[in-house]
Amino acid sequence: MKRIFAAALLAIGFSTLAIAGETDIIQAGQAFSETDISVKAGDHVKFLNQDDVKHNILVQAGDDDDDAKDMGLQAPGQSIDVPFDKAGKFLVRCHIHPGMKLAVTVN
Amino acid sequence: MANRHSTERQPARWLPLFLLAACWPRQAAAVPSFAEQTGQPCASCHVGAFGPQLRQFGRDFKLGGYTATDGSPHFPPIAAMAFGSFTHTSADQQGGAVRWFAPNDNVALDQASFYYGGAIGKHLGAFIQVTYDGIARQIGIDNTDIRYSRERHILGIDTVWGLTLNNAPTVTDLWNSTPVWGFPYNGSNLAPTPQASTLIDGALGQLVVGLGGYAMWNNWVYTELDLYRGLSRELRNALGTVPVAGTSEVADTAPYWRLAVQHDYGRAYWQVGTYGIDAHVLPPVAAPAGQTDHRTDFAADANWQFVFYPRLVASDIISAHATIIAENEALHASSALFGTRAHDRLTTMRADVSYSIGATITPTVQIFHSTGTEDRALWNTANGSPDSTGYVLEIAYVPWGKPKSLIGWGNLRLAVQYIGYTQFGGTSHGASRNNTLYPNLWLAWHF
Repeated sequence: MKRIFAAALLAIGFSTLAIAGETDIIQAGQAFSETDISVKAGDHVKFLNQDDVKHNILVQAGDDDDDAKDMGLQAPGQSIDVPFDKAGKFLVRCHIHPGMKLAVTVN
Repeated sequence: MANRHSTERQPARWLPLFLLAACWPRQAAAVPSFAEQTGQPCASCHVGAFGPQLRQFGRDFKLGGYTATDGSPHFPPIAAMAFGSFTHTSADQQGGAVRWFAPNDNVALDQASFYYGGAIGKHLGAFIQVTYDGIARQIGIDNTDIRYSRERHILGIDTVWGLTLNNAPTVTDLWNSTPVWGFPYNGSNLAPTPQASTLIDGALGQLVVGLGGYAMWNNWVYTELDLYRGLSRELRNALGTVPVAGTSEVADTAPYWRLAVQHDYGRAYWQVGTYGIDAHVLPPVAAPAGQTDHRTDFAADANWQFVFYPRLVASDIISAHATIIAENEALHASSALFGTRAHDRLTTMRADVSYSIGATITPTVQIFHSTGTEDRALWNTANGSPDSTGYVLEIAYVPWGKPKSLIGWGNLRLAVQYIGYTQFGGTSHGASRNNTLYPNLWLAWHF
């Protein structure tokens, strides 16, 4: 009985860890579902394109997109997983749709 | 029957020539090279899947200097457009609608254009149009807007700012309530149109060159200031501007201003604003030394859009636009030359609403009204009144330009337009003789 209880606790612990490390953002109506989020260093943000047109994920560290990280194009229905390994403030945008912006604070 | 060409012999003949420019058919902005550059269907930017009526992404794209891209390599953004039509007016136009055309029931290739439409560099883009005018049978430079745009935090405010070099007041505008991109998006140049028009209402297109700056503050407040200079007659001739001869010139520098407040809720969108221009105009004949006509336009406008299903690019959309333009005219030169009054006023109002069904079928209704002071020498009407009132009904069908459309390299717009007048040239008597039926076919494609 004690073994079963311990295994259950372990399973709950692992699943909690997995959920805590990922945040889901929906792209719909040519907008992100959130305008700003906070995550922990090492967390991932998953972007799911629910529009019927292509999107793109571009992660920039400052005002300028010269050093931005381009995660590529995203067909309708596709998702892109973006890891945020370092603390700081980032702006996620779609370089097709200039109005789509998501501020990400990594603690 | 009013005929814009028959008025050129009248005393204030510079005015109809300005009006000719104002009445020249409006241009398509359905530029397939934009679609190619962004990897998006026409319907992403345009209500009804065909230009120039913009939705939010289209406004953002223009604000950003036509530079947004999907990052893929593309052929240089060259595109073409052509539209042809049949024009029927309720009464024949004696002597022919214009040179080369019959008094009524004319078939025409209205326009054929080439565009450079898209990015030149990362922050630099252009919309440059060269048009063959099938009515005047002449090729010339058309609407042009070259932009440099950046995004910055200014005083903690998310700001998109830019510079523009362009050749028509309001060609830079993001909204379809202002003259250059307003409804109706094309029109017959073989039909009679009211003579009276304000200066900003398209009368300066391609007659000027302007340099300006603009900024969108926090996606709420838009400001723009452009300074325009008139092009010399020689340069206009070289650029093929229609009409070539006898046109007036803008003297000195004419400032154009724009202020707008907007908000996008995702499904609903609204905008209210003001714009205007202050210009000194030289008539085409030698004016007394130092004398010009001083014309000042103050305008207000509003836009409203509602997207029923934001996740679908081809969603149903309701759009409404309205504007009112009030012009004060201090006619120092024209009163000396042609005997017009020293001061006149003209006010123009119009409003339209459209319902785009699946970005495929788009019916639109517009009402318009112009009124002003009576001046027989200026307006060339029998009673001296510039007043006109009427309506435009249009239904457009656009089969492509949506996700999964069979044709990806171009688009097609079939439309039937009807213009009805209840008052024309200051009188309601016989106004309906100018009513116009205008079925037209519009093609656009990229290379």
